Amino acid sequence: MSAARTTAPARAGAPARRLAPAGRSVRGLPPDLRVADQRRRLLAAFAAEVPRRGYDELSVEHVVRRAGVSRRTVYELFDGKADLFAAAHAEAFLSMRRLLRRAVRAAGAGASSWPDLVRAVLAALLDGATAAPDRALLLAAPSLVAGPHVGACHSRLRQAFGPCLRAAAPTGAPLSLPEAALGGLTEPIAGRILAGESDSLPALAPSLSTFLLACFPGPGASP
Amino acid sequence: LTAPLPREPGFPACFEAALARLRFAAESAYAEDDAATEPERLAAALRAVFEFASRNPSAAWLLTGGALAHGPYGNARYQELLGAAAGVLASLRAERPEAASLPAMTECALLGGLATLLARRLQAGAAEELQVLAPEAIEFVLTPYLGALEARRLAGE
Repeated sequence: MSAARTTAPARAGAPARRLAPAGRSVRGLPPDLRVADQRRRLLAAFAAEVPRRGYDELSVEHVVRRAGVSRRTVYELFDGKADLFAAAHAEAFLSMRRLLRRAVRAAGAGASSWPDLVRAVLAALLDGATAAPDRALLLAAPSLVAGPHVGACHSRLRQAFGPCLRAAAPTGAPLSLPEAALGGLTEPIAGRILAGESDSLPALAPSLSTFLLACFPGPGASP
Repeated sequence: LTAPLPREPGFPACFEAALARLRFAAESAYAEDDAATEPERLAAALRAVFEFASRNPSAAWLLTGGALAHGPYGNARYQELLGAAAGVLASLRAERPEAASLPAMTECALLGGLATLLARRLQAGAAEELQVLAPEAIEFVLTPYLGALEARRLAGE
């Protein structure tokens, strides 16, 4: 696995998907929409550029070039690289959370068994990551993209998923189990994306379900 | 070594030096007790990794979060490190029939979880927490292979 992940992302040179191509004029849009479009393009450019360079080596110039906006625009909308990261991570997180909440509702959380719920949520997560791998990587490999901001990223994930996982952990399980398991869950996902194999992410569902259910067999389980 | 060359020429030397020290600590702990079983040896090696990280936070950060933030070269070396560790961990699949049928990505996930625990404390400047955290981390890693009770027993030794 490690060898496959040593290459730069296969799509690293490609423009962000489903966005206006870099440099495309946004003239003609009302000012508020133009700002929203520039912001969206900057966040997408950041998510696409950071895996291939690493947070430390990424400059605002790299993002500007990919997004096709002026350097001045970046600083009108953000306070710099760290702020760009924070905004990109927050957007990716909110998007994934919306997607997972829909999956929980669709699975009928009250009526579903814990294993069925885990499988439904994982399937939705992997589909979402396949559709938007750059954004998924921001969540799955915050160490890669965030550098010094990794702590804040992990905290956000732990706060979102920790209580639910904690309730499903076996009696006497280590307190850090949700944190470790979330880290473990994201490692293979990040690996596939970095290897340019994001299309194969849904195939991870059975293995990841087994892994998660082994860590969290369900409410009231004993070791 | 298949990693692409980094832009910062000093990084590989620092990374390799840190890795050599970590390997020495882990391998020494692994080999210390001739009479120990394989799970006991691996538990000792994992304990040594956490002790190393708590005493050498800068080196440990370089091998985890720092490497990943460094771009393709750091990421590649990080993955090679995880891949080597996964090969060692996979020896535990022989411990129980249930362990033999674990999904192929199990080692990758377990080590990713371990790295998460380490990186977050190191990033937060809380390296002193790592030695306390070590038993929980060892239990997390050994449970799929040995079962929770045996993993907890070994983690607490």
